[in-house]
Amino acid sequence: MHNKKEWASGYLFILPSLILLIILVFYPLFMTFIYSFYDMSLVSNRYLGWEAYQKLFQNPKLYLIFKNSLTWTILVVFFQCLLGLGSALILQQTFVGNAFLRGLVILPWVMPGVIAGMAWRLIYDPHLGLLNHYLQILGIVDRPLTWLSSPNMALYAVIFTAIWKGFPFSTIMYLAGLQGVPSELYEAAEIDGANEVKQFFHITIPSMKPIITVTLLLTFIWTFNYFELVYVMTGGGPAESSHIFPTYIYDLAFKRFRFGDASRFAVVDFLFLLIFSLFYVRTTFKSEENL
Amino acid sequence: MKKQFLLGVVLLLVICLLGVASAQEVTLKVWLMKQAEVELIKAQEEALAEFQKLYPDINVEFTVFPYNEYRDKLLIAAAAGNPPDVSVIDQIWNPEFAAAGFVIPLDDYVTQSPNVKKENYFSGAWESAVFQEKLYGIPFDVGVWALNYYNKDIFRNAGLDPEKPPVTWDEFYEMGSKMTSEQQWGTALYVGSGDAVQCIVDALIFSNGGSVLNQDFRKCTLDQPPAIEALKYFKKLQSINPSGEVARTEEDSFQLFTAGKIGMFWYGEWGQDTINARAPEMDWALANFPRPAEGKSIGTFGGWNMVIYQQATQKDAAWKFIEFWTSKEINEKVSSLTPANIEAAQAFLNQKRKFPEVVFQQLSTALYRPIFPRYPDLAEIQRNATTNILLDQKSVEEALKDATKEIDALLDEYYANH
Repeated sequence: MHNKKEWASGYLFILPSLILLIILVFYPLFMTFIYSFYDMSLVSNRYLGWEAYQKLFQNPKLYLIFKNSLTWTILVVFFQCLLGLGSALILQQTFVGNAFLRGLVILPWVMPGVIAGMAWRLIYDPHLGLLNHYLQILGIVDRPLTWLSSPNMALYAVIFTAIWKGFPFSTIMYLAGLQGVPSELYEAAEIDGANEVKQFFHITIPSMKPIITVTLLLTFIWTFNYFELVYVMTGGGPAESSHIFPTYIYDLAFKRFRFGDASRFAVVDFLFLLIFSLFYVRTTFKSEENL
Repeated sequence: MKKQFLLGVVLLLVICLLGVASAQEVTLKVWLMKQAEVELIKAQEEALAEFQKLYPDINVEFTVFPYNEYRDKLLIAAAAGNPPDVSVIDQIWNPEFAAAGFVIPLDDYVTQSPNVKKENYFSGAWESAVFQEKLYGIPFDVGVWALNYYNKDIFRNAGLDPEKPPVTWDEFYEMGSKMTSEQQWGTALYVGSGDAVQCIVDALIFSNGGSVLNQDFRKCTLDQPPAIEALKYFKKLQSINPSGEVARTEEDSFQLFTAGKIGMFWYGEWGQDTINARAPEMDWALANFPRPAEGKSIGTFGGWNMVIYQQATQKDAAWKFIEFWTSKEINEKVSSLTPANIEAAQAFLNQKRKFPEVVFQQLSTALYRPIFPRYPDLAEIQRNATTNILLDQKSVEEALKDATKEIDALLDEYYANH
């Protein structure tokens, strides 16, 4: 009896958030699945069924965007992790100006994405931008490079900005992780004669594994669905060559009002992330059990 | 005594009811774009007070949004079945709103109206509201892409006469070449992700006697010689323009112009205020959009139309508001762009713009963009073709042939289901 009452009050406590979740997350998600079977726009509303998906998988755009999204996410996450770890190791040392540097490092991350995007658009500008200016002064290039307007470079230019913009998050996470590594381990290792490189790979990395796992998962999902930078810097261009899932979905839905098409791309995006997260979480937890 | 009292009460009640019926007030929901200028907001309020004096029983409720939010808010409201009674919409949304059944045809209102007549408005703006032979909007304001802004100092430095701006395509190119060096260019093209580039490309095609779609908007004509020549000319301009044009927006090019980096720049007449604000020292002037040697200078219309919604509860009051708001006296005062009413436009241009005759002439001959409910899709195909041409990924002929094929498929798909 007592137990039942507790259950009831438990449910009562989560009810408000549950209702909000249903209205704001599950209902739109469900409707996106439904819409994805329709040819839906302001001027049409036609049920297509699986034919809709058949058409989607014949659409070369899907593969281009999938490829772009993967390139974008993998490069950004990898370099953010690397830079994050490196900067965390530096900031963990005690030296004069450390606190100032910590504040400085975090700047890109706290800057609104749209502003960062606009600033970098200017930096990359072939004729007004700083980057080409310095590259020319240093004699690395003799004509200004059109970073954002060549299909071969645009996506990579944005990737560079995204790495810069997001790595402080990894820095903070890893800095916190580093502080959690017990110092006795290092002392013991030193006594055993392990050098710093060995200490790093055999103590630091293994102790930080849980935090690295979580950080990688978070940055992967965030980056995969990160919208502002690509949208502000290239708008998916030139000729739709730098679109990733979120920007293309936005274009389809809100610039071209193709809600059906947009829903199908969103479903693929969602399913990919779902499968990836499940797989990732399962394998990492499994390997942790084996430890 | 009692009876008389009762009679009195009944009489009073009847009078009250009658009174209510005769002074039945209606509330009219009007959506407009948010204006930044204080004077304009004041003018709108004054105009509204005047309207209220004319029609004391119509209560107007204004809702304004900035441009970026305007379309989303309007679409959501319309799709949810709760639109305003009247609003302004961008010309290029008009066919879509008509096809979606959001807005009603206004032909009957126009026939009965003493003031709203086709000849009172710029014809290109009026035609932009016609979809399948019915009129779905009344032009409110207009703008034309493009006029040729030029920097007189750069003309002088290049040894050119600043009083003789280029008239033809060849002159534009040759003068531009003379201005082009390492740090300075004849002009700055732009593609970006908005619709401005379509307006420029369309204007080149129109000036060369071509079109994007055929007369009944069922077939694409971009693979025809006038369009091919126009795009070839556009590509040729690449050599007198700083690199990076496909990522550049019209606003980026504008910055190059006000920074004194380019001699000539294609933009609408509303850019004048921006130049004066950003580069007050600049010695600039305005000329017509260049034309081919054998062609006519024709620009592309932009602008806003006023529409009445299908689900509006106060359609007649809505029409009265449109009549009032697009009339010469009012249109002239409440518009930030050039008014669509021709007489109002003349007064407005003379008062607020430099080179009013040039602008007026350009507006009088301008054409509208293709009428098609899926215009945004069509525009995207056009933009990709233009980009591919500029990036040398396809030849002009090839890019336009592919675009024509894609646009035809889009048209066929739409008309097969509608």
